[in-house]
Amino acid sequence: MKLHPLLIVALVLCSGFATASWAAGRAYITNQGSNNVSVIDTASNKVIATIEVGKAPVGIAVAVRLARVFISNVEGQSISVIDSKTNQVIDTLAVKGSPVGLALAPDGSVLYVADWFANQVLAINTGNLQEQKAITIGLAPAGLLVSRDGKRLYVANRDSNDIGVIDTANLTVIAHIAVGKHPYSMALSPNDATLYAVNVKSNNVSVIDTVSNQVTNTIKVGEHPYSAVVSTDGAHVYVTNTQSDDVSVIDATQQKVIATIPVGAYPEGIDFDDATQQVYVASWADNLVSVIDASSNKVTENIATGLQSRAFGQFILEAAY
Amino acid sequence: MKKFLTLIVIAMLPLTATAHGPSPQKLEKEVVIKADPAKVWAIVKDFGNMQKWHPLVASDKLEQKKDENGEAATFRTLTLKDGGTIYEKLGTINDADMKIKYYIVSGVLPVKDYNATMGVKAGPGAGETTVTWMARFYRKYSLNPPIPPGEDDESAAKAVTGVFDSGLANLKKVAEGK
Repeated sequence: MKLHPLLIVALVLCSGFATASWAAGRAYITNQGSNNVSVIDTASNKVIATIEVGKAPVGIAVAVRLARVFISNVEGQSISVIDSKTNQVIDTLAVKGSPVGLALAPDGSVLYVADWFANQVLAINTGNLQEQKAITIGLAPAGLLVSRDGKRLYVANRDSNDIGVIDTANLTVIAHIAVGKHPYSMALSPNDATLYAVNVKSNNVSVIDTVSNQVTNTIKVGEHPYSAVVSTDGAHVYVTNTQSDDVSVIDATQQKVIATIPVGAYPEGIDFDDATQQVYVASWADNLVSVIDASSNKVTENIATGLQSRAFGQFILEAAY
Repeated sequence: MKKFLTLIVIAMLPLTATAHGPSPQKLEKEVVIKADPAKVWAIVKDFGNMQKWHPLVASDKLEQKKDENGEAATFRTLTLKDGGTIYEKLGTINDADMKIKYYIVSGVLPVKDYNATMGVKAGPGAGETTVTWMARFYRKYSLNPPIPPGEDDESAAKAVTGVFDSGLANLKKVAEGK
């Protein structure tokens, strides 16, 4: 088939544009104090956009398939929906409660929202945001996590000191796993077999077998730990310690801390970039993101963001393939 | 003391607060002191002697005991000149970075989960030292709105601001030997 010269030009332009706009991953960082989101290109580690959202944004969930980023504005009592292709807010959903943690079904079809004050989790159809279901859970639900197979939703109930386990097929609570004091967030191994719950007030991480829903070990970390993430290969777990201003690196096999990395003050959210093998840590007190090279466990860069960066949740949107 | 009493009175006034969620507040204040950093740091790091530099504090009693996780820790009881008390736990004292971290366990300030850092560094000018005091805290009332008067975000911020402003101003005087 012979193509018209103009069509060839158009095709070349289109493919060029697509490559240029989507070469690397993006870290979306919520800034509580400046009511916006900093977008960091994980290849260059530069802020490439700043997006105004609602009041006191905290939680984040990214949906690669939908090209959407969801932000919880805890004081604005809303969810901002960002189109990750344009980095524009395309919708804002009012929520009656105080949305904190967010998580998405692996296919992006359902957004789960932890409602701190109402002690419930909302399940929102991302295709029709008005279609919502509420699930009653423990006290002060904070962090949420969906298993990679999509079958389980884990909820960190801060004030009831347990992890709620929800069967996503029928949205029923099938277990409450007692953990340490004030569990705030969680991380999962790549095979969904091991859940790590971060206990703020007991300065440790509970290791949970997701088949038996039993705690198998407890690992001491730094002061007032907040968030955790597991490396692509599952070998390491990184935990932010908000009051010792560092990140504990846990060897998943030995189940002990093998390194402690100083980062920006009051580190909160943490995520792992599979493409570049870098760990991104939001510093609430220093208004920046510290970047750790996972091979050396050293901070390679500190990127200035907005005021009081939190970045609570899975905030790195991997490059689209 | 009068200033602090005024603050308490302000904190008691019913304020029409908008709905606030579970967001921590940040307060950061700085003072530049014409004194050697080592001299200023020696005053700041002395966890058991806050009455030597803070004008609202009448006495400071140190105590060693186990914390809620069963680990050895240092606590202090600050008795304020107006009679109120604040019970605090020492986090860390880092001599290399000249930073001290501590937490409020309980007390008269209308805050919750309060933790603070005081840092000392040389500069900006020759012979000068900058002290930075940063706190992260929540308002006292952490349940569902409506929020009782005096337990909202504004009350918490006002009380901490009063402690910081009066403390840093007097720290400067003490360190400069005035």
